[in-house]
Amino acid sequence: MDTLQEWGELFVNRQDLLWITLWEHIQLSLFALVIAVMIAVPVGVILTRYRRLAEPVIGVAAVLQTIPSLALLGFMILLLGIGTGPAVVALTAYALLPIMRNTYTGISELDPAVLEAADAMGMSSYGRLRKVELPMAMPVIMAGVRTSMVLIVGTATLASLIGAGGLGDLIMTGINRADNGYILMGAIPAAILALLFDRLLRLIESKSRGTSLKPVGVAAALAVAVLLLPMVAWNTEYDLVIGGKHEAEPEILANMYAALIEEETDLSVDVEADLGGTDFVFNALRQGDIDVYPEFTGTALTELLDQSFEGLADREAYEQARDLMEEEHGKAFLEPMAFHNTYAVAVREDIDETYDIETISDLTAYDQELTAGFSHEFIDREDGYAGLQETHGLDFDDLNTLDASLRSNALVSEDVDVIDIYSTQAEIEEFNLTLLEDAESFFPPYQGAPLMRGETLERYPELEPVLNTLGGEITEDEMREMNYAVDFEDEDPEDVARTYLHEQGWIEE
Amino acid sequence: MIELQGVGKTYRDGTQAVKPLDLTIETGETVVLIGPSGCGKTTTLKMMNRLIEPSEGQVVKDGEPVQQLSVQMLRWNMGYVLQQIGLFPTMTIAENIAVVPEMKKWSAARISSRIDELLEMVGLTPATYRDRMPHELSGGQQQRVGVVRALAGDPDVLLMDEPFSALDPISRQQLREDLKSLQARIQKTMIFVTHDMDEALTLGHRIALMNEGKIVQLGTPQELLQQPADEFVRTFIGDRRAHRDLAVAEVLKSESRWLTVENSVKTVVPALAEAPPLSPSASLQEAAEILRSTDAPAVPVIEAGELLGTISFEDIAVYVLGGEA
Repeated sequence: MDTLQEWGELFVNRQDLLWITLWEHIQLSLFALVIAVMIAVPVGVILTRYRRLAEPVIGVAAVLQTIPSLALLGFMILLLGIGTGPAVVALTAYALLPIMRNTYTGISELDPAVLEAADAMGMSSYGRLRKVELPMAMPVIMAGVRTSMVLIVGTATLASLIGAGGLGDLIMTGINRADNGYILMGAIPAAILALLFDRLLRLIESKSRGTSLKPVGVAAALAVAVLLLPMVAWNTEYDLVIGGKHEAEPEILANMYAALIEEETDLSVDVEADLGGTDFVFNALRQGDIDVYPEFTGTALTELLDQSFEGLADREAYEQARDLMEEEHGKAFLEPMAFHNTYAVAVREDIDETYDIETISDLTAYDQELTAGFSHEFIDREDGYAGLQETHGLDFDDLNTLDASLRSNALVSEDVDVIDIYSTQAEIEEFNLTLLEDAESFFPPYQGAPLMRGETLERYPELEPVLNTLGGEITEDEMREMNYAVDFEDEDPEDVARTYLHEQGWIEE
Repeated sequence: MIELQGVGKTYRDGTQAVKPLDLTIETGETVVLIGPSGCGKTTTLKMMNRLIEPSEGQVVKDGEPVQQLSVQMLRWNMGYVLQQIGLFPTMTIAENIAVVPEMKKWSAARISSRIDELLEMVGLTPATYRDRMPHELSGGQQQRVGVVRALAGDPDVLLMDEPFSALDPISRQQLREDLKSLQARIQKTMIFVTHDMDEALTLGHRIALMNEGKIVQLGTPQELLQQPADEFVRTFIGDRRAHRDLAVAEVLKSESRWLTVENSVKTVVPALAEAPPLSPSASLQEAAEILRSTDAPAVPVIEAGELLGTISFEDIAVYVLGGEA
């Protein structure tokens, strides 16, 4: 298990990563907050002047708020693509309600006598707003801003799922690798950041007590400046963007694509291998934010094309996926690699020795004695436990539902004896797990292959032979080793990818 | 001068808050609008500075219909004091007072000296109070600032909407006295709304008694006291006529501003010269008769050739209402 010392080391070794993601996080949060304030405060003020509109407008903001953040981010990809922009839009949508509602309530609930005094003294509507209403409602408005800020800083950790970076990158890495060190390295700074922002906002608020709104204005101007400076430098255009899910394997593969393309062509390539999940990446591909990403034949068939894979051999499955991708989505599915990353069933070494289990079918004899720990997806899927129950008559007395990232830990700590696992997962190596043989070919073909936009291939036809270099290459063992290097030795996916390609003689350096 | 010409207010739901009425307030005069709640007195007041727009008739200020003036300019020149005081809680006392002068674009130096002058006028030491926040002051002090704030831009008219009714009895009494002396010094046209007859009798040059959106009787305090127009007025004022047979000695004021003392001999000021003196046993009604028929501000009371003191309508009113003179 992790110790404080290990966390300390990780922190020291990955400091650069921490600062980069922290800075991204600050920018993302600040940007969303400033925009939210610039929209919500004026709208809140306008609502106090047209009260009939207040109910419906605040209602709409409340609806935005109820959309689960993950869903909103996923939705943003379809509308606006991936990256910082869509993330900021989503975060802003989240932050609107507290600020707008507090502005409206803060001003609506001011003492009517004071407002009558302001009117009777001949203040203009704007003068009354600036000198009386805003200063008096400021504590309530700022409370709303602070609520929104905490909301933004928290939700911004999810923004990494659509490639916007931030501390969420560290947290996602931690979850994927079941590495608490990374999770804490992302979560603790996020919490500190929220507290710090809160402090800062309170300071601004106390400075602006009285008639002057200057400190608020100065703070807003500074925030905008912080945001705009680096934006200018950001806008680099690439010929090609390679995507990938935020896990070791897709990241390594995406980097291999990039290295090969850069080796063989003059195209400039960017790697965005930190996207949230299958839907996120595929939407980004449809949207044209990324041009190519590694996808599995099984996933393409079942999840993206809604097809059954039953009884299909590897090649048939690939060809069916390829043809349908072309037909239905105009995407090119290039040659698959050798390895399968399918579901597998694993047991601890000692179980393997104690009981006589070699194949999945052998488990049936011991399903009263052994404890199983399966992931949510695996339990429900036809190509998972549900299917195994039907075809193999497997029925565990003691079945636990575990998060995918916790399965192998639970197995090693002897809480469970049998788990589901992906066949190329590095834990197999790390914990010396025994994979049970799938003698009946129960699990579908899950071969990785580049999934590419048709438009991109038309424009750069030279990419096909380049990416097909990997076709039929990379064995399960090789892939597992590379995953191990990234997940357990904390190596850079890009280095791992380049080293492999170099060893194969496909790139120079 | 403010003229209300057939001014009335009917709300959209048909409620007639004020029936069309005529009222002329002379420059420098204090008119008190009084009546039970819901009689339309506050609505009438607010129609003068257009906080409420009349649904009929027009308000004319110094010959110009207020509808034709810019509403802001109109209000800069009509100080307004509210029952709820309504100081701006985020501003200091000085900033509160400076609001109208700033809008009138006075110089900073002029505003600053105006603040000091006004605070001193109501007995608040500028050095102590300028930078305090409103919540640090007592209710009475706050309303003093409220009055001062209304006066800050040197308006020619002061509108006061039950300014003292939210205060405790002692502060109310004090502020009433202060306003009375201020009235003489600043010579502003004042319209004062109250439901308190004592206040009306003490402060009003004329009193407009309102009921159900109409002016029931308009007249000087003594006219109201002595010739109530109808049963409603009589009831509203209360039965103060029981006092009319009281001996003036009871009400006599020996320390009056109508007296001077020279060589330890008391004499009356020349203004009282034409008023025939009374004996201490004369009734209050006799005193009132003389005050009414002669225009003299007070009547001297003499016993055996010695001047005991003077008696005025104010003294009578204060006595009748049970206040301390």
